[in-house]
Amino acid sequence: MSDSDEVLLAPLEEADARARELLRPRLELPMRLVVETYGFLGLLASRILATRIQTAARKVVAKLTMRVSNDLYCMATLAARGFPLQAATLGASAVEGALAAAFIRESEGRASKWIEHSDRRHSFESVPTMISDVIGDVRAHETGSLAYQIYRELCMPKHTNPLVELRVGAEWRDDGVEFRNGLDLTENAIKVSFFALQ
Amino acid sequence: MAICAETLAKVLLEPSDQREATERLGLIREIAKKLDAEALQLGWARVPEGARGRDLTMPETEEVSE
Repeated sequence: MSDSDEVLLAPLEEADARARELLRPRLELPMRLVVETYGFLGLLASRILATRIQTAARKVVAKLTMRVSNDLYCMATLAARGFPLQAATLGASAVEGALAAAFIRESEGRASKWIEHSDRRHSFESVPTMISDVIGDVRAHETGSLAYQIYRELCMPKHTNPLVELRVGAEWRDDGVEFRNGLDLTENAIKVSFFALQ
Repeated sequence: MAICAETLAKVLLEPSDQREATERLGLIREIAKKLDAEALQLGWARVPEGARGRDLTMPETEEVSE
């Protein structure tokens, strides 16, 4: 019986606690990074809100910064309990929020565009455009290109891309396939959580 | 998620916030560096040597799936 099977057979709360116990040593360092980042974003948001002049841009940026920090909190919660695909999905949203905040910065024009956004089919701004503006050209700049690559990887679980779905939550063998409904403590699952939190 | 800290820090830090924020960001960078080393050791490198920008943690795809 594998660790996953054993944990899944336990009552829900007990399974949750045992999953956290089993995953803690494997995800200790990425969790530390998330905790530190969570605190850092809280500090940034509080500083933005503490400034005397509250422009629309500052308010939007503070709102987005808090959204990102809450995404991080939820990601850590999901990853710690053996739900890597869901953690990575939130990771894509967190990156989008961070980019939007940085893209708006002090720009009242961009903040107004964000506030007045009324298109349900499209985002406020495309991710490549925001990365190119904030970090570096996604096609020519090394860091910009890397950031876009990370974002795209995080988007795969978000869109149930088969490349990821086939590797996490299911084990394909010659004699059939074994699906895992609920938490996943396999090596592939830990790898995805590690990537998402990193 | 170091990418979120770096992205927001880049544009939100003001001179008066520099000290505390820089210290915290420094710690985040330190952990991120250790994570890169751990990932490399595990064969999960996000930025493997000689292939910067390519990811091995999940399979590579040419499709933009945002």
